[in-house]
Amino acid sequence: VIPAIVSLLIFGGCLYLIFTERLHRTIAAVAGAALMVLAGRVWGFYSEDMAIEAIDFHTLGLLLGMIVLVALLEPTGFFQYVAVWAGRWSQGRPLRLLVMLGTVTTVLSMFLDNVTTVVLIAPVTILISEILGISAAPLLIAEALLSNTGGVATLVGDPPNVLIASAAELSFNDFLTHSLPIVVVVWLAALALLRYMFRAELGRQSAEADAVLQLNPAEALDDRPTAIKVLIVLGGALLLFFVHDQLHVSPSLIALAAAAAALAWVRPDVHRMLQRVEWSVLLFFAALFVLVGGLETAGVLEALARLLVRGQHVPPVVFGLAMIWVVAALSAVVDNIPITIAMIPVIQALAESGVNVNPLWWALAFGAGFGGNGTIIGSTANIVVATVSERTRTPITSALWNKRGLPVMLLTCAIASVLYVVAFPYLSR
Amino acid sequence: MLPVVDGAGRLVGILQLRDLLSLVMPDFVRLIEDFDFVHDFGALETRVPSAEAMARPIREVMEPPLSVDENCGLVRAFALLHQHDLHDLPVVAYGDRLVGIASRVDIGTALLSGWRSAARETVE
Repeated sequence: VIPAIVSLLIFGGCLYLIFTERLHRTIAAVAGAALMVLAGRVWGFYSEDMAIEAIDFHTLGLLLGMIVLVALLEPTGFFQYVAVWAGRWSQGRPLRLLVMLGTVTTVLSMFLDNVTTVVLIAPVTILISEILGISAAPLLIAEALLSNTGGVATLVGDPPNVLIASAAELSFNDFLTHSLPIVVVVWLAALALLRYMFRAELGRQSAEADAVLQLNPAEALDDRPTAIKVLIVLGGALLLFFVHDQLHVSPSLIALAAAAAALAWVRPDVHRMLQRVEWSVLLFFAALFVLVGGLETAGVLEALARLLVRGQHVPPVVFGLAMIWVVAALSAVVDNIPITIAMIPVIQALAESGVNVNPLWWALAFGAGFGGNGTIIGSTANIVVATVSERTRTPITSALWNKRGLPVMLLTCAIASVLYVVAFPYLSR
Repeated sequence: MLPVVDGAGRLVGILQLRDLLSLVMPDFVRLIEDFDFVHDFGALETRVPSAEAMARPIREVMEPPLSVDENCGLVRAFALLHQHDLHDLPVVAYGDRLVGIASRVDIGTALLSGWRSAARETVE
């Protein structure tokens, strides 16, 4: 019992520090991981070797590969280029701009890291808003919410999906056949709701619409040859993702091989390129794996799973719905990555006790993905756009986010729940 | 650049054009690396600061003072201009009392004319 209590205290303390932002989440997780291993040695429930075994290198490899590809693409100006095109297509009409930028951000974030996409699209969004003389806040909020929502559609779209796919051995195509159809409906509903909520701010036509048409996408793309090279490699990687299951190759190998190919082809200044890699994210993941590994060996997750099995007299579909909403609520107030990493061993324990956990994996993906929309700290993309907006005249406040993001979270979870019930037999396979 | 002094003539801050422009222009310009694709800044071109922004006292807008002593070497003066991305450098003496302003051109001219007289001496 003591190991269980100690490991729970360490994990809970970490979540508390991450939630209150007393410490940067990576520092909190690394400190917690070290404490967990130390405590494990003292009370004999965890060791260095077990900690290393707890780290899912498939997840880290896939993330690293994709991050390197983005780090190569970033300095070419490709993201500016795409955002400028979206601005031109909108013809300076604010509501259409919201749709265009939201769509572009979503499509990019389905294949690339959510946070990086938002980091690179947001400055151009602010620029276009300033040229039009409109507030950037609605556009930035829409970009974060829509990219969070859209990212749920693919295996590489968002970190919880990478984790779930690795743990449940789901393929890239499983996400396209199970998650994508539901996400398309949910995403369209989110877009409609955003358009409706921001109709007052974005309804007025700007007098400066012509200035947006003067933006020159070709000049925004600084290094066309490199951009083309990286996009070719990225396209090749996506094609391989479609058949990775048939080839019996893991997505992480494809991503790392693509990163290696792009590096060899582009041959960038390695030091500068590596500075763009988000090491803090990778370290955060590794530390969380070690932390949750401690919870597992201390028997906490097994106890939780036993508790859940006892609740199995409820119909499985109700259990799945409860999973969506509980995970969504937790993901809104804490980061969705630790929640997902903690839920995975619980679901695995349920699988061992004979429960069909296939629908639960999808419930976890939907809850973690859509729940992050609820609050300003729900997902990293939200934090990023809020931080960037502080440089404009209309900073995004937590209150504004609750007014605009929470309705989107509730609507997306509600629609996902309905579709979940309808598609339950299919999701169970 | 304008130096800001207190009643006793001591330098307390400096005010640059960019500080004034930041009253109308948001800080986002630092987020984007290049602007050559923007041919028309639209609404930004015609924006004027709000009455509230215009009424703000200078101490809220100014930057902390950076100055050199009147005996400061030319290379140090130029290095400071370069480091802090300034066009002019306040010169102080007797404590913090402002005694002059050295511009980038002043410092450049002094440096180059120093070279010329040095060259003349070596020829002689």
